[in-house]
Amino acid sequence: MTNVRALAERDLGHTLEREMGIAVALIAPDGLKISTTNDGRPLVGRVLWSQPRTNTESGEVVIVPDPVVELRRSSLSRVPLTGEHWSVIIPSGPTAGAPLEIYMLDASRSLEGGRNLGVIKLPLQRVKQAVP
Amino acid sequence: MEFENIKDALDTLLETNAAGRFAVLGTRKRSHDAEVVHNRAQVTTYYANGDFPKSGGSYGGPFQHDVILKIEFLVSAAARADLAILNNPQATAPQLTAALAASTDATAEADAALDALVSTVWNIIMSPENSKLGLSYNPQRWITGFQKNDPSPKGALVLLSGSMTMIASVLEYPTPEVGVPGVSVDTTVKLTADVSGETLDTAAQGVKEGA
Repeated sequence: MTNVRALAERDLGHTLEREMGIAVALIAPDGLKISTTNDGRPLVGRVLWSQPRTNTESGEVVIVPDPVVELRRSSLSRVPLTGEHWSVIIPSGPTAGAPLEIYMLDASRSLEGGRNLGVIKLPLQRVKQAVP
Repeated sequence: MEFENIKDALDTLLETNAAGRFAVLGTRKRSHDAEVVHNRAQVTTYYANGDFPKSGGSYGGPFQHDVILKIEFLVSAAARADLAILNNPQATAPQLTAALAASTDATAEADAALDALVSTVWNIIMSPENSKLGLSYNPQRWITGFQKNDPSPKGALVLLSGSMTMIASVLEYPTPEVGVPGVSVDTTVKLTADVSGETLDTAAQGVKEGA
């Protein structure tokens, strides 16, 4: 008998990885580039480029650039852990052919839950060229 | 009052020496938009507190005024990494590993940026040649402390703020409020008769008065 968690995890194949999935790539701390799933399909997930935030001074809700990537954990050959330095490559927008942009996984924020449902949520930070 | 001149002098001193490193927003409202702050750090000064010690003044003045000014700092930063390696499809795993290991997150970058900004501003204010803050007298300026706040993630950037406390001592000379001058009315009144109806004869009056 399939439990609810297993059903929810299976549904991620539809909600995160079907037609609306956005191709992403990860670079693990050991230099491994992950752009395909465990079974060889292109790695896709949900990408949110902006988030609603409440302006604490005015109380109004504003949309701010705050990219977040949601991936199906079971598709990853290696799962990011809080505090690790990962790089994440996503398109600059949801349109076809959008140029790719590179971000760093925000190591100062815990990777939000979803463990039971099989989702991992990656908060990203903008990255600039390091000064040599 | 003189404390306003101290604040204006501090703003001018910081603006003169900013050299594009930060923006001085003395009287304007500063921006909390991380993108705006990311382009240029912000320094805001304001008069925070003042003491008038009774022993420091006479009945008619001048009055000693111990001024406390706050200097607030706001910086924003992104993470840093060697993008030439991370963006290179031909980069090897050891190269990628080294680039990721050497990367710094935005919080650390913001912390370093704020430290650098505080150091810059402290050096400007406490330089011996700036002891008068550009005024004609020595206000005995002194930086008494600095407080750093917690970093605040703002989207893909991190905002970090802090505040520095500067004290100075000035003499306040009370100036009476100057009233608005009234409108002067220039007119000529020619009296040809007094209340009794008698015709006035100034020449005759002169004779009477003289009599």
